[in-house]
Amino acid sequence: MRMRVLAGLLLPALLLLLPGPAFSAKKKGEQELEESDKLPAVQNRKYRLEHEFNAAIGVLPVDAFVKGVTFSGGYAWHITDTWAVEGRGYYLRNVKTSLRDKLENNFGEPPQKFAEITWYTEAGVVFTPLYGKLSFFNRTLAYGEFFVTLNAVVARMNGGKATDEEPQGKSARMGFGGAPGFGIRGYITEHLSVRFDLKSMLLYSAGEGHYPLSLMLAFSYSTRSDL
Amino acid sequence: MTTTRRVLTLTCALALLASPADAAKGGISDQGGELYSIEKRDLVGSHELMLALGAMPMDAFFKGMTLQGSYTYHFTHLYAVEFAGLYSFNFATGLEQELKERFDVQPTKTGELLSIINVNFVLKPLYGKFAVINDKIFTGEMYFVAGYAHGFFSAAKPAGIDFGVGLRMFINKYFSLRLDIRDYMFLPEFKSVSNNLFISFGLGLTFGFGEEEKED
Repeated sequence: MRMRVLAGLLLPALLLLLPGPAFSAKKKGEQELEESDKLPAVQNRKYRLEHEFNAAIGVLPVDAFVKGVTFSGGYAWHITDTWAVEGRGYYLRNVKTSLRDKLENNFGEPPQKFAEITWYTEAGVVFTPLYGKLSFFNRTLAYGEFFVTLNAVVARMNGGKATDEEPQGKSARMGFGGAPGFGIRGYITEHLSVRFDLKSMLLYSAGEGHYPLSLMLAFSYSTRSDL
Repeated sequence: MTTTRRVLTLTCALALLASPADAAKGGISDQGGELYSIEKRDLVGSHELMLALGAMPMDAFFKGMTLQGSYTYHFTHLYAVEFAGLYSFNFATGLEQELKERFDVQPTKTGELLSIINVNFVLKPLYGKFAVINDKIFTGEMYFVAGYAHGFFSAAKPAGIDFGVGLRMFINKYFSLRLDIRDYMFLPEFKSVSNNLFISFGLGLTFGFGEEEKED
């Protein structure tokens, strides 16, 4: 009887001792992780965007006759961590190059013969495949992401090559096209970030193709989907 | 009865000892403790060879598709020096021909850019992890370069500087993917500056891994 009592009391105690080692022995994979140097750490994103409003300054530097300085504002709705839709409007201040000055002054070319964009808008998608958590000089943490964009573009253009109908150069008109590109974003605070965009536009307007390159630096304010 | 009491005492003691780790875990969690995950950087690979395809889209007269090769010596995780050269396969936009025919104007004094050699100081202040589509984790780094560049144009060989930023994703210990954006600024006659934006996508091969104590 005494032995039964002893066995009855000791057995549960021994069973209580078992779970730790028995559990770890069950899964070989977990045991390997414990013995490994590396610990896979899965964390939630620190920065999650939802509604993004931004203001930007940029340049259209490629055209030989005119360099454009852009002022733009945009809105993006980040549907998920990786996909967003975006709309943006640009206003341009165009600066004539010395080559165009020479052609206008020395050769009497009318200004209407040189195509330039006065404003344009774009709308499209943003795909963000990379989100990074980086150490800065091994001291502080920095967060950022890399994204690619694809936009449809509508532009207001002025000037262009002379035709039989318009021998003095083209008048104001609309241009249509697309703008693939990519960019990087660095987070400053939970709501503020700075982003750099590079886009290559492909515009078609009144029989002419235009291929301006757009560089843009933007400051963004974003609401967050997790707050 | 005495024996039974002893057994009961022993049982209670064993039961209390049974799960100390679990109790401790719960305690930390309840107190809202924070978990820091600190991983060591991989060892420095001293030597890196890189081959890249790129584009030089800035010139209104020629658009260049480039082939670039480089050798980089990594002193530490933070500093490196890069020796690079690129060759540009150029495609005329037709603008130069048009200007010649219509106005008899020769717009560029330097001609088309054929190749560039440069030596750069590389600073790599940002290193960390990238989540790729919230699915896979890769390590990577962001770096900045600046240095001396020498351009070989069809009609001139101007000196200049270059600077830029790059992003590297490590595929494994030896191979990495690189995205570089740079500006080559040449001074053909020290009067005007010729800016040449350069974008490239390359594959790097790193070797010559040092001892562990070489880490920062």
